[in-house]
Amino acid sequence: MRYTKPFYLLALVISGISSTYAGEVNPSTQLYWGDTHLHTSYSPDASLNGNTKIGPEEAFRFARGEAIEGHSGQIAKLHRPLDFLVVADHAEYLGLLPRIRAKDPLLMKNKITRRWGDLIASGKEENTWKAMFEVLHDIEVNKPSFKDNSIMRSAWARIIEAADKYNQANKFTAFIGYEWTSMPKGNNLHRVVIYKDDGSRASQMLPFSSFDSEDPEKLWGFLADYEKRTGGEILAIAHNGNMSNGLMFQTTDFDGNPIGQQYAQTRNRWEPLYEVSQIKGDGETHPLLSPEDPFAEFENWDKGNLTASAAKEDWMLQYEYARSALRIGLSIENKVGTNPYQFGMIGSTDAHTGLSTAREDNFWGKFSVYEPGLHRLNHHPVVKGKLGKAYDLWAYEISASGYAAVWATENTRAALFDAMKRKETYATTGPRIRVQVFAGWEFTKEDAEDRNFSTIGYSKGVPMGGRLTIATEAKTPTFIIKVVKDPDGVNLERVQIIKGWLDNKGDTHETVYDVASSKTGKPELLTQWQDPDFDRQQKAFYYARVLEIPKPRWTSIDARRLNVEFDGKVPHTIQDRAYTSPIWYSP
Amino acid sequence: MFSKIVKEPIFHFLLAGALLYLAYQFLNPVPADSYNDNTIVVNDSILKNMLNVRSKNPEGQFNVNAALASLDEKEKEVLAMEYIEEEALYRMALEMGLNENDFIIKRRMIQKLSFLLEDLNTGKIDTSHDNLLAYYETNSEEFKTDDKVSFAHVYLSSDQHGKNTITKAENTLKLLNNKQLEIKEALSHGDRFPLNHKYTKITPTQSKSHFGIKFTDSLFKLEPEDHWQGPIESGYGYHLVYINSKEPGYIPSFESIRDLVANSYTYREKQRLNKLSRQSIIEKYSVLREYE
Repeated sequence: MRYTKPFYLLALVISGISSTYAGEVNPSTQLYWGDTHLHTSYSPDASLNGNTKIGPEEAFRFARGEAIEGHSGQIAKLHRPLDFLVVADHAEYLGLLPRIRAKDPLLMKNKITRRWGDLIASGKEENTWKAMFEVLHDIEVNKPSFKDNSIMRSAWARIIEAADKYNQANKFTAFIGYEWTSMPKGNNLHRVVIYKDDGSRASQMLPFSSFDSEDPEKLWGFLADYEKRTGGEILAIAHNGNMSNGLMFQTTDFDGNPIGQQYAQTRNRWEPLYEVSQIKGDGETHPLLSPEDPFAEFENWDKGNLTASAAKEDWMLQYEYARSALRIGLSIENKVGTNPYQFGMIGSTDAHTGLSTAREDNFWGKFSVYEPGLHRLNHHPVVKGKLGKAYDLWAYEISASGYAAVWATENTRAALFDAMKRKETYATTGPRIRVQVFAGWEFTKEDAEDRNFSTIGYSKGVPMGGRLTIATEAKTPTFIIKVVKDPDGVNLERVQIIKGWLDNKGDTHETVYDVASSKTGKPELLTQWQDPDFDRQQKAFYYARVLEIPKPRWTSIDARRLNVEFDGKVPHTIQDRAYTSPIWYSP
Repeated sequence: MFSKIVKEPIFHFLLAGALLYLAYQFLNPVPADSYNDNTIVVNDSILKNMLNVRSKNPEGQFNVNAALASLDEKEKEVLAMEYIEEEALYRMALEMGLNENDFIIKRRMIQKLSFLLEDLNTGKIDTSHDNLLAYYETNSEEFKTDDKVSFAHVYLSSDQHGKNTITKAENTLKLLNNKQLEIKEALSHGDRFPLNHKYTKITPTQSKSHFGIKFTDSLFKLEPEDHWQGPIESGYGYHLVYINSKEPGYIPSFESIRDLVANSYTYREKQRLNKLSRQSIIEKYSVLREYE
């Protein structure tokens, strides 16, 4: 090609820069999107709710961008592929249902599994629900009525095989994982377990299930044992706590003893992240916990516990939501020396369809029976009074949420896992909003606007998930924040910093600061902010919340596509958001 | 020749039928021709099967021979009578056609056959070198690496210029190309872009992350030129791009991606064969559509 002189120079300038993203020279991290909590047909409740064919292999294929045929004959495809995925099927009865559906002769010999097989084969919804209740009951009381390790072993081997097969360095990361499904009395204490390792290590031990123990400390013991025996690395993510009925972030351990240093250290060690948003509602905060926060009411699921066996009581809320848990963490740290609830934030779907979708206009539901269509607008999955149910639930309450964003050095299992451990992550309720936050002592307005935003951020401060220590005299924490909208989504309305702190009497407080906003919406919001109420003696945490401008909720999009009117209770719009991992200050 | 037979749908059907028959024999070890007369045969293997089905122990942990040997005459007679009664009633029910129009029985049989077909098909997938190579050659596009583009862009923000953004972008394009401005100067004719103004060797995935789907689809259709091109629309506004180079994606050698090819081939074959075997069964029947 022949260049005229100025263009020749221009070409040199462009090609002379070696980093992938010229302009920001060698940024040390890139942004990766994924889902840490996706179920497939291998989970008993997924299978019993219509997922008969989308297993781990299909789930990985879909996440990396391929089209997959759903159960209703419609074709599902992501607008933008994900960078990583954790297939996290329930460890309890892992892989059992597909074998029952296939009429495995071994299982047809057993009274229980044959009964479930017959109930499913009858094709009647009420019978499938019967089987579902029996399965859930076993998990709830931690007593399997059918026991055979060979089923789990073969399912685990297939999950590992699929993950190792689709894991491709710098292209797509397929994590090995599962979900530990503890739910004492129907209260949700689930954890997603994620392996940094490949099958050579992960296959050495079978998943730890709630049939082994429903006590989280026993799970952490298992994780420690895994690392010791295999030399591998592993972590756990606490499930969205809104259906734990006051159990997820208690001030006591599982047996009711006040949390001591040992418990605090162990939980801090194994659970670096918290699932703050997912299909079963949002878990940042609640209107009763943050009455002065006008945005606290958002996709809340606050009617009761997971099995709908017990209704919610107001006192439970503080032990279920991220913001109050972060505050409780500060106060426990004050007493025992370690913060058990020093977690970063991720969002995930917890979809049981094998299809990780969270966009309002491309949402495939929680279960395969809720694929797009008329039935899901007026379906009533939980009915109060029926079988002792404590509350009603409508399918329209399902939330099209969320995804996990990770700032990592590259797209590999090792790099993403390390970023999760250092909490350099954030949650969104679906859209791919780009958020960066750094905290330090000397950030200026110019730093926030500088082209080398992240280079400056890393050199002068700590990223989200980090810690600031000991303020020297007369210094105040400064933050630089840069938020760019999802390029395929709507504009941004506001950026807020949420601060929680511990006063000198040992009580905790919270404040929401609007740090950047635009009523009509902007494609980008960036700012420098300094804490106006800083007291260097007081422990504190700061995280950012980003709100998009309102847009149609998935229910409205469904209604428009199907040309129907829906019930007045169904919200028409939604303001999707992002929550970053906090940055902690401790003197 | 053999491979040609293997590809015949009728062969699949026959094989599936044979397998089904064998499985049936295994689960119900009764001489098949006994259904044709009125004889009910009871032998050791039938009694063993009865004991096996009743045992609570998993398979392999139950010594059925020992169990049978431990029965005395009377116990054996009771067991045999149970079988004879079951079998007689079952055959009578079949003769009366009670299995017809029974939804549960129908679904069970369909499930059994589906399982058998899938098992059969999985065993049939041949990942030999020649097959994989042929698959690789016909599906090479699937294994192509991403195109990579290096470019600079001048950005006109919809947020700042509203409805005039496109006009402004078109005018700026003319200006840039007329004056042949150097990059720094060219950039000063646009707005500040939230991310970067220059990109080196980025893939469509990376481009989508920074600019969105619409922009990326347009960008990767363009070729390097010695002038500014556009305007291209994104979720942020309009962009004028100077494409410095484009590295087209390439198809890696078969040897270097053999595992990827095998994965893809196995997955697709499984799907294709399952569809095919269902189709070939349907084709055994003539369908009469009587609905409007």
